[in-house]
Amino acid sequence: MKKILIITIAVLFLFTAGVFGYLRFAKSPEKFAPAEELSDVLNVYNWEDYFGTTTIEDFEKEFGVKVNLQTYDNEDTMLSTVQSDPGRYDVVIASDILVREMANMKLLARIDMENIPNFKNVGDEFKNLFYDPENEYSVPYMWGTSGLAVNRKYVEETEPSWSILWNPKYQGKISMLNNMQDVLGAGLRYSGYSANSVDPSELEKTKEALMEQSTLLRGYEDSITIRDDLISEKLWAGHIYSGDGVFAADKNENIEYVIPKEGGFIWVDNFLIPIGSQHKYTAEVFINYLLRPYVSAKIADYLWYANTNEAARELTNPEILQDEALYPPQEVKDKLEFSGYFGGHEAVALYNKIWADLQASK
Amino acid sequence: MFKIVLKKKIIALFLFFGLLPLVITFILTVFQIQKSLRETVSSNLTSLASEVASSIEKTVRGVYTDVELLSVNPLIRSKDASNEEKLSEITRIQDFYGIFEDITLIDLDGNVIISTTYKYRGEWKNKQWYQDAREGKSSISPAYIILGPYKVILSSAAPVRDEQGKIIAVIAGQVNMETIRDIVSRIKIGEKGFVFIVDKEGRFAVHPEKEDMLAAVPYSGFAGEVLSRDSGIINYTGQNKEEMIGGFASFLDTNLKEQLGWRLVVAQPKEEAFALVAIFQKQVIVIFLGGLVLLLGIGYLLGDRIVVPMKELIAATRKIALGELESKIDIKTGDEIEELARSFNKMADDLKESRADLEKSKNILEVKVAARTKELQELTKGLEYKVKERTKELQSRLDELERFHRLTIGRELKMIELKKELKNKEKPSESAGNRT
Repeated sequence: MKKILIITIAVLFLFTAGVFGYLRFAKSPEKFAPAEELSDVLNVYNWEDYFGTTTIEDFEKEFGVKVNLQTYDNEDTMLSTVQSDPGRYDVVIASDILVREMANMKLLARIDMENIPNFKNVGDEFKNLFYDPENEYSVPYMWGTSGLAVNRKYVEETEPSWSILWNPKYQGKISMLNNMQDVLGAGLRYSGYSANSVDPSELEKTKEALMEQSTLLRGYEDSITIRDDLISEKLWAGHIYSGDGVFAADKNENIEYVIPKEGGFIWVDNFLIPIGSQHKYTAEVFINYLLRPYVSAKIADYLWYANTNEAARELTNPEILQDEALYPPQEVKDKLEFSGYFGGHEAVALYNKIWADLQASK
Repeated sequence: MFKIVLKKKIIALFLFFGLLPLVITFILTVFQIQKSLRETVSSNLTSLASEVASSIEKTVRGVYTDVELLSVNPLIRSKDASNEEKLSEITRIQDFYGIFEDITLIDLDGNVIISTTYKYRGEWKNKQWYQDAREGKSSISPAYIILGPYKVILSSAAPVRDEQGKIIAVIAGQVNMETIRDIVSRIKIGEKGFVFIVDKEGRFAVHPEKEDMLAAVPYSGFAGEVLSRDSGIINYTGQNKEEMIGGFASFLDTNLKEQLGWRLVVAQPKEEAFALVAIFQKQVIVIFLGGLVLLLGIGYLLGDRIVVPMKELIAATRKIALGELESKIDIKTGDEIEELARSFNKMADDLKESRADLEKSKNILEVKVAARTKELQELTKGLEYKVKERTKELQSRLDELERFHRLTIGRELKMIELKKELKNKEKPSESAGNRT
């Protein structure tokens, strides 16, 4: 009797458990982890002329992925585009502080470093920097400075100084970068303040200096335009990024890239993946490819930019490595600052207001 | 042995026929009614999502309309008014509406003409909503963050036309998403239910938790499924591994739906959403188990009711088999078994009677057999005497024959000896004649 009772209860228990189990799990949605497969296309948004000549082509051949490359001439353009449509691009390039801002704006996806083993090639001094302390969102690319390119044929001053860009003799033959922080940073340095000052009175004085300068400028332009017009001598002096300045110097022997004695900005460009990326895995594979020593060295050789890729150094043109304009000595580096609103968010409106007034003045 | 098997059979049969309808009812109740209850709950969530979406849509459309109204403000359209006058006007309007964080007037090159706060970094010319407005179409941005300080913002832009209808600028109004988050946060669904909005990039455009605003939706497969349809129901696992159900709906306005791509989700833990279903389910199971226990009890009692009298019957049968014909069974079940017991008792009585009759017949037979036996014994004795006498007579004749036989043999032997003697006497005479 006991036996039959136990069997019946066991059967019922199993039946009830089965029913409950069914009820609990029958309607659970199926969950699939996204497959880590290469996509057919990859949408890349980079600074104008900021890869090697065959970088994209080589990647496409090796991986069978069609890369749609679009370029921008201003980081704010990239920021606005990503803000407008975070899913449009899979890889974008941004400098240090913008990385932090974009991460704070929740515009960036966390990068899976498991897919980027070549991250080990990046020099330790460029890893875990202040703007992304654990490299959650960024992988360093090239680094450089914002300085001056001058044509010695036309520019008299021998001492490297921001004051060259305030010299009325060069009216209409000088241009500033079309980047708010670079321009205000240069103005602040010229005025004798920190390039990251958030002091309203310092900013007001800087604004006055920049407004005065704006009448001398041909315009606020992108680095490539300034570079090309320096080479063709349409411009005599220009605010420019180091790589473009050295590139121009390589093409025109009268041109020299200098870091002003007052100091300026140092920056590190980084690969980022926007939060809406449709092909994140392929983006990581692409970044990993760009970190290969040979690929990275080839890019640096073409761009004339200082490279964060330590493993690429031995494959890089020694002339580039020895160029102090690209790899400045420590005493020059000491005068350089990373850009950023380190003083507080109130400064954002001040910066934006000055920038809007400067643009309106042109 | 038999009695256990019978009892098992009775219980098993009873359970089988009792459980079958019970199980069928249980399955139908649990699956069918529960399905219907679940569908009702799901439908309620979807309806609620549609209602909330409609309310949010109204707010967003309000922003849209307000910016369009701003764009036709005579002072802002005026070519003669100075930037200071325009700034003063948009500041006044901003204060009046109270919803805008910032109002910015942008020229056709994307440069800011005037702004009430100057807090918006980025190139206007690359913002889609600016481009749309520049093309003559009012537009709205996805939610985005500004840092100065941190705010989640929604921008709406509209073209500013001069008196001839030519676009001369773009006006953009920025609204803090906190306004929408407030609406959403106020909605309570049960104890743990909440509302959030997913944008077309799969992020939380609005979430009750401030820090989750614009964070990627972490639920696996959630965004893809929600964005693939305008409305419906989604099951997913929440961040704390809680099983959730959500009803979702999109805006009805085609423009807003296309530009924002938002899906409003009313989510609730399944445990809470289906609490009634669970209670109902538990009740059904309790009834089922109660029914089962009842069936077991009845089966057991019924088994006893049949088997105990049967045991008595068996015991009585055994006694009768041993000759105890006086044994009787007293069963009062009021059914066939009682009848069987009565028949049994009668049978026992009949048997007892038959046995008494048999005993009597046996005694008579024994007397008859004894008399006959005596008769036979006497007859036997007479016959024995006769046989003895006859045997004696035969024996004397046999003896006589024996003597005669021995005499005959003696004479025979003597004849043989005489014949031998005769022969011997004839032999010597013959041998003498032969030598001669």
